[in-house]
Amino acid sequence: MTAGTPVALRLQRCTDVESLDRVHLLLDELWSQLDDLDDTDRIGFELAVLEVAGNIVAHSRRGPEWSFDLAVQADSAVLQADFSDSGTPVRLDLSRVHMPDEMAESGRGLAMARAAVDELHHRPTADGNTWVIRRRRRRVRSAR
Amino acid sequence: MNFDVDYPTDGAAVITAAGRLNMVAAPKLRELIATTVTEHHRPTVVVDLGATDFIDSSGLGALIAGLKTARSAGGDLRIARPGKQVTTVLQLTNMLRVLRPYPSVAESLA
Repeated sequence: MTAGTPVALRLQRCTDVESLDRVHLLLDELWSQLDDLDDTDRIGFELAVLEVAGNIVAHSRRGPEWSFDLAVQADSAVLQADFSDSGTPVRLDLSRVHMPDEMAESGRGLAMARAAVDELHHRPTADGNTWVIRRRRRRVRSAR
Repeated sequence: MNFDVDYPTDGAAVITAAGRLNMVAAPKLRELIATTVTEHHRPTVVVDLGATDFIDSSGLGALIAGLKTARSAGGDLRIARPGKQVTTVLQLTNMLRVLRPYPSVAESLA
């Protein structure tokens, strides 16, 4: 597939920590459909997506019907991920997220996600929470 | 993720971590390092990351917890053979000073 052909994939009703493997597999499928992917873009985007997925699994406050969905898309310019979860809506100030002390055993996830991509947004909604991740692609060969 | 443990010398253990060191695998690595240090009396632990495809914040947390456990027993935790993803994460988090990568398991044990 060439750089100019957009790709969109979706994952629905993820319910537990084992769903992180499904997220990895979804990204593997995305990478397999992009033949001009820069390694740095892949590593940064995958890290941010998995950190946000991990944060949702670990911290989203949930009822018995709780789940999250993930949509990923790529075109010649941008890699984007859109999460939505059905947890209790919360307000997060991502501008206050920072990398903890180097000997800290936790608390790095969202700081790593922010550092790995160009944009990270969280928003509470009527039904839960949404997250948007965007990474502008660094090097793209021109499509022939 | 699969873990293998080898005991190359009296005081040291090498843990090989193959696959994704994420939120699912990190607690297992944390427990494995603690057992290796305290029950098998190997205060020097090398984590061989040569076959680790992916690490996230929980994986880093497990390595830091292991480093503290090893140091409290008079030893150390070292990482060997990290690939590009692991190295990128270490750079991104400014962790290269506390988790200095060794190019080989042999050099990490020297």
